[in-house]
Parts: sequence; C-alpha cells; structure tokens
Amino acid sequence: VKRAILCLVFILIFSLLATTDAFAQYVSPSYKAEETFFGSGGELDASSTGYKAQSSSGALGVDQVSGPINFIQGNQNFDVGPTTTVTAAFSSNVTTGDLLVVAVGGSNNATFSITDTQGNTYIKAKDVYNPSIGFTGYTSAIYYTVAKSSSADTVQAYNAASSGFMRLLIHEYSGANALDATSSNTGNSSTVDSGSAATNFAHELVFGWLASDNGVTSAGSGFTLRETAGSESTMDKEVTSKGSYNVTAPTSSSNWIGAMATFFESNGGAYSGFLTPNEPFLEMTVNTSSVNLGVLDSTAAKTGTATFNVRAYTSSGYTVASVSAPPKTSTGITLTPMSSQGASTVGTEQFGINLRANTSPTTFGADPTQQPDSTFAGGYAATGYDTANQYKYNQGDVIAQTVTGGWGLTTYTISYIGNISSITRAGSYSMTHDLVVVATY
Amino acid sequence: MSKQKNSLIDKAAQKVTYFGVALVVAVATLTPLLLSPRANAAQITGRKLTIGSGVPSAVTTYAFDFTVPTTGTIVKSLAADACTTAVGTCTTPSGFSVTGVTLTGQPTGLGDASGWTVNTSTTGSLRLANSSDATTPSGAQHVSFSGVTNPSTVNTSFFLRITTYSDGSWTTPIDTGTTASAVVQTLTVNAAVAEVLNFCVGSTTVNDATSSPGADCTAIGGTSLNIGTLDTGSTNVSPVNTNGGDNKNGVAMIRTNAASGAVVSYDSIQQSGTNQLGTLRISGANCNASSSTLTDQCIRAKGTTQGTIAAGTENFGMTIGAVNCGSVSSYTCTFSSGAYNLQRDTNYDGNGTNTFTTDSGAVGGTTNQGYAWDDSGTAQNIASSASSTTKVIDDEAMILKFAATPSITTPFGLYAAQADFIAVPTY
Repeated sequence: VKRAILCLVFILIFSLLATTDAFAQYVSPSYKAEETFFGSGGELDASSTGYKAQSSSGALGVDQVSGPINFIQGNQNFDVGPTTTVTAAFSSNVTTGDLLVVAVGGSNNATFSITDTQGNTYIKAKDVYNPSIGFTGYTSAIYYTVAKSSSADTVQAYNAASSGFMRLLIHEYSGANALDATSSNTGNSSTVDSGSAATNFAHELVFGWLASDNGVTSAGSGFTLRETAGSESTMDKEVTSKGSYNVTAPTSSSNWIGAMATFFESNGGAYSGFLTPNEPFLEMTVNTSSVNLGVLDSTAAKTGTATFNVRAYTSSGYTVASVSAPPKTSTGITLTPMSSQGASTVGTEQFGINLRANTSPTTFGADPTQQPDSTFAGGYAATGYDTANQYKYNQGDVIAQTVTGGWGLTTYTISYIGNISSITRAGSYSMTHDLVVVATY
Repeated sequence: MSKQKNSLIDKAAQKVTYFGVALVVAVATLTPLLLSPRANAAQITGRKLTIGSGVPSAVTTYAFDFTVPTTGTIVKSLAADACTTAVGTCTTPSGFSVTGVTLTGQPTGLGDASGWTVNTSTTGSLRLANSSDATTPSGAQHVSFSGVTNPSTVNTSFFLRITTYSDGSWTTPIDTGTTASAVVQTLTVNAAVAEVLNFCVGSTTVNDATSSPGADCTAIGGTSLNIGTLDTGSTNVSPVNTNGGDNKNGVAMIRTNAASGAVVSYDSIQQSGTNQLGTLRISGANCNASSSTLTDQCIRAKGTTQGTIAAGTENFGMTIGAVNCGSVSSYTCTFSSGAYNLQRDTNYDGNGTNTFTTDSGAVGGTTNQGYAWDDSGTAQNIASSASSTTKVIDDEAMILKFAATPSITTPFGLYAAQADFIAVPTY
C-alpha cells in the first residue's frame, strides 16, 4: 500500500510539475487572459479556470493597476495669432506606455485635432466652449494618448474651424493610461470650476485645464500647477479613493472656462463583464445595407447615416479602416472626397464622413456608444473623423479604433455628407463601403 | 496457514490493484500532455491579420503580422488555418477558399529572404514552405497572401490559426497563435447628380475676355444687336457705337455638367425671298443664286472658312472674339492663358490666338481677325468642350463679334441676319 501511495504521490507530483507553466499563468498578477487562450492544449482549461476565479473574486470590469502616478515632464507654447496651428515639444524623450495629456485652447468655437511626431492617436477627453470669453469666445479641450515609443516627441494642435490665438500645454505621466471621468463648466465669478465628475477607481489622476478673461496662474487647494500658457493653466492631483472630484482655481472675477479629465492605470485586460467572452474574439456587424443621399444639390447638403458594431476582446486593440474608393459613376467619375477635415460647404463638391453626432449641415449622426460603458468598451472615432460637423474621406483611412486595448461592444454611426458644385458631373454615383477591422492579439 | 496464504494472495492482489490504479491515473494524466501536438508550442504574439476587403466572397489579400517567440528554431513551413471558431475543431468558414492564392511577396523576418512557395492543396489553409530555409526567424514577421476568397456569410467573424513548423511539410509545430477578422454586410452608398444645361444667347456691351456679361444665364438678355450703317470705306465690326450702331456684341453663355462635354452650333435662319436666304439681307428680297453678285439686296456671306474682310468688298461674317471667363466661379478660367474649357472651332477663333480680337467699330482696310458665316441653314459647330481635359463648363461666355462691309453697288436698305444657336451636351 505504501509503495502504491508513494507511486501515486510521485505520479501526481510529476503531473503537477508538468502543468506548472499553465497553472502559474492564472495565479500570476501579470496574467492576461488572452495570452493563454491559444497555448498548449492543457492550458485551455487552466485559462478558463483562471477567468472564473477572477470573476468570482469580484474583479469585474477593467482591471486597475495601483502603482504611483507620476508627472514626468511638461511644456507649453502659445501663439497670439491669427494662426491655426501651434506646436510644443517635450524636452526629454517620452517613455513607451506613458500617458500624454494635451490641453489646447483657442479663440472662437474651435475644432481641434492633435498629432505628434511619434504618430500617436489622440482621443478627445473633453472640450468646452464659452462664447463670452474675450471678443470671440474661447474653446478648451483635453486630449490624451499613450506613447507608442520611447523617443522625442513634438505635439501639434490644429484648429480646423478658424484662425485665432492658440494655447498648447503638454504633459507626460507614468502610472496612468486610460480615461475614466470628465467634466466641463463655464461661468463668471472669481473661482474657476471645472464641474464635478465621479471616478470609478480608487487611484486616479485628476487633471484640470482652466482659463478666464483675467487669467488663471495658480492652482486651487490640493492641486499642483503644471503648465501655464499665456495666462491659462493646467493642474493636477493624485487621488486614492473613489469619489466626486472637480478642479478649481482662483481668478479675478471674469468669464471663465474649465475642463477636467481623470485617468487611471489599466492593464489592458478585461476579466469579466457579460459582453466580454472567454476567448479571443472579434465581431463586426454592419447594420445598414444602403445609404441613399438622393439627388445632390448645389444649394443644400445631403446627408445619410449607417451604423456598425465592433465587439472585440484583444490585448492590443483594433482598428476599422474604410478601404473603398469614394462614390463614382459607372464611367469612373468620382465625387471629390474631402482629403482633409473640414466643414460641409454648400456649392463645393464634397464627399465626407465622420463618426460623431452633428448639428451641421443638419442634426444627424451619433457619437460612438460603448456598452455597457466606456470602462468596458474602448472604441472611439479616429483622428480626422472624430470632430462634430467636420468631415473627411480618404480611402484607406482608419476611421475607428481603440487606444489602449480592445474589448467590449462599441456601436459606431457613420455620418455621410454630399455636396456638389454647379458643374459636378451628372450621373449616378455609388460606393460599396468596404470596412475592414484589424485586431491585434 | 490457509488464511495466511489467502492473506498473502490478497496483499499481492491489492498491490497489483493499487499499481494498476496508479498506472491508469498516470497514463490518464500524462497522455494528453505527451500526445498533444501543441504541448510544446509557444504563443505567437502581436498577431494581426489585415484583409484587403471586408466584403463577403471578395478575392483579396490576407497580410499577417506577428512575432514568433521561438527564435532559435528555423521555420520551414507555416500554415494559417481558417476556422469558424478560435478554439476546438476547425471548420472552414463557408465560402473561404485558397484556390488561386499566391504570395504577395516573400515573407520578412521568417527566415531566408527568398525560396518560399505557397501551397494551396489543403482546403481552408493558407500555407507556405521553404524546405531549404537556413535562417532563424528574427524581429517581427510579415507574410502576405494574394487571391484569397473571403468567407461568404455576411457579418461573420472567422479565425486564422497560425502555426509555424520546423519541417517543410507542416508536421512538427514550433509556435502557434490565432487571430481574427470579419466579413460584413455590403453597405452601398448612393447619390445622384441631375443633368444640368443652362444655355442662353443675347447681346452685351462687354468687349473683352474678363468682364462678366452677367452672373449666369438669368442675367443675359437682348435679342438683337445693330452694327450701324455700312460704308464701303470700312468694315463695321461689333460693337459699333457710331452710325446707328448700338455698341453691343452678341453673347452665348453655357453651363453644363455633361461629363462628355457640349457642342455649340448655329444655323442661319432662312428668311423670305429667293437665294442667299441666311445671310445679311433685306427680308423678302430676290437675290441672285450666285453670291458673287454685288448688286442684289443680299450681302455676301463669308462662308464656312474664316477669313479676313477687306473694306468695300461685300462680306458678312461672325467670329468668337473670346471665351469670356468673367462669370466662371467653379474653376480657374483665364482666356489669355488658354485655361478655359469651351474650345472655339478653328473657323470661328479669329486668328487662332488667345488674344481678344482687336477689331471693333469701323475698321479700315482689312480686318485683323478672320470671320465666317454659313448662310445655308446647315448647323455649323462654333465651339465644343468635348476635346477639353475638363469637359464640364461653368458659365463660359462666347463674345460673338459680327462684321460686315458693302460694295459700292450694294443697294441701300435695312439688312438683317438671324440665327439659331444650339447647345448639345453629352452626359
């Protein structure tokens, strides 16, 4: 009996040793579910077990990593204008995976887009317009991205709506990489207030971008002033408990504008949630079979919409590209696409799209909707297609994407516009809108 | 003794039983690990499949990008199996086909820079091999196939299970990983642009190539122009502001979005009387059949070939002084540089240059430009955009200049010529 027991023990120990690699993966803190799905045959059960274990522990939603959040560096630049661009460079190389937060401001009701020399994709966290500031009004916006490489980086802001003065303030943080809550506010008093928003995680960075007619040059209580461009400033603080937060700062009584965004550290994995399957997953569904813009008119823009869903579970996110040539006739005459982002202009031949809720040339379209919310699904309109009332179409462009990972279900609405000039060639124009989703696992 | 013997037999039987149980457990535990073909395969990372089209059944490219973790083993073959699911038994998606697949180019990062060939003999599997590969993989790998037929079911995800092999016959796996893509419902975007032709003829005081005779056809008016009392000492060329002239040119403006352009022609209206019915004549007059007769009440038409007119040598003709760009807003239009879409016929282009005709009023001697007029009533083309690079026309206006001179025997009277102008667009 002893021999038999020893034999069994030996065999069982040997068996456990043989499966240690798989076992280690679902008890390791650095475990990422997707990495085990396509391992050896023995690992499939292990990953399944690990998945369930995470769910039962109550770790629903996106996992948060609770390391320190550190401000690494920042810079600013401003141009009294009139201008449509302003640039600012980080004085030292930024680090791969660090959060880059950009605050941009400009006169009028501006529509910004942000690019940088690393080729990062910037997502708008929040923007707000106060028509009472200055002579022409003022727009503030916060954008963010995650640095794709460790190298020098220069950021450029572009105002597609108008030419005026511009502010650009850039920041690098370690220990955060995903957006959580946002708020914005306008008013006229001696305290600038971004408005409040509730955070979903205990450990977050609260970032504020405040401006007023009489200037904001110092931070409110508990906040650290980071950059000042002209007389407008950014500030932040690190919080360690969930709650409702706002950013405030003193000013001489005047019209003011404020925006806030909070960021946390996500490990890019989704451990649960009813929309997240227990295997690598990618699903794309186009819900519309045809969009008819009708007979185009040189005196009025024509519009149409279509929707598609992307449901994904990937470690490195996904992109959706529009690979079709713009609408053309059977004889090959093309309706001129909008090669750069711009507004609908009646009387000018244009074909363009965006993925936003628009109010011009009419009220149509919708912003991407993440289900059940943005902490589960990370799909956004891509740069160039992410500004309301601004349209663009370039064959092959990425029109939708995730930023730091891809999971959950996002519903996108494509808004189409068509304009013609007085000499746009007659005929029936058609495009088979070919959408290609590419996920990285 | 018997009991002791039985006890020994029982103990021996128990040992055999325990060992048997242990053996069964061991075999049951280890067999899947030992026999699994993927037991030693490592996870391919950064896996990405970029398909050239998401349209169902489209024949397109499949480009794989990934990074193999095992860099010390030479890869001699690779397979990407198309499956309806990410894991489990692989079922080829309906409609997916590798028939006719080729390599878009030699793979990079996988091994040797050349020598890789595609294999299409396995249904649902994109395969390539290089049995003589002698280079271990490095960095990121890129493999692209052309001519792959997408799955045919709309709004369907499918999975490509990638495996690298250390042999050239897809037998001994090294690394494996799966990526996904999707074919979606065809989304058709339609729009129509209606046919447009705005064409008008009238009179204008504009006598250059740049001043707008009117924003568009709604601003063009007038049904006649007067080149005044003719005199043998000169040729009256519109606009004439002496001797009864009304200081106007003729104008014909056109806007069309016809993709193949438009042709403009005129035909002289045949007036009452006999002979030379379409020329500058007294209505109802009986003219001679020969247009060379200078004593009838018809001024001899210049004919279908343009030529200059000498004062006192009876002639009537017309030319296009310029293609006026003053009303064009949709594109750059400059007559003097030749940047206009409505090209004049060579018999109505004055002297063939892009200089506005200098003939105007009472021109002594011989005119600087050529003129033509066909009095037969047959349509004569005077301009067309069919040969232009851009065939559409945005309110380009032809400044029509009329010229006439009498002979000393031309009878007095009120002379008139009439014409229909026609624009024919081709869409």
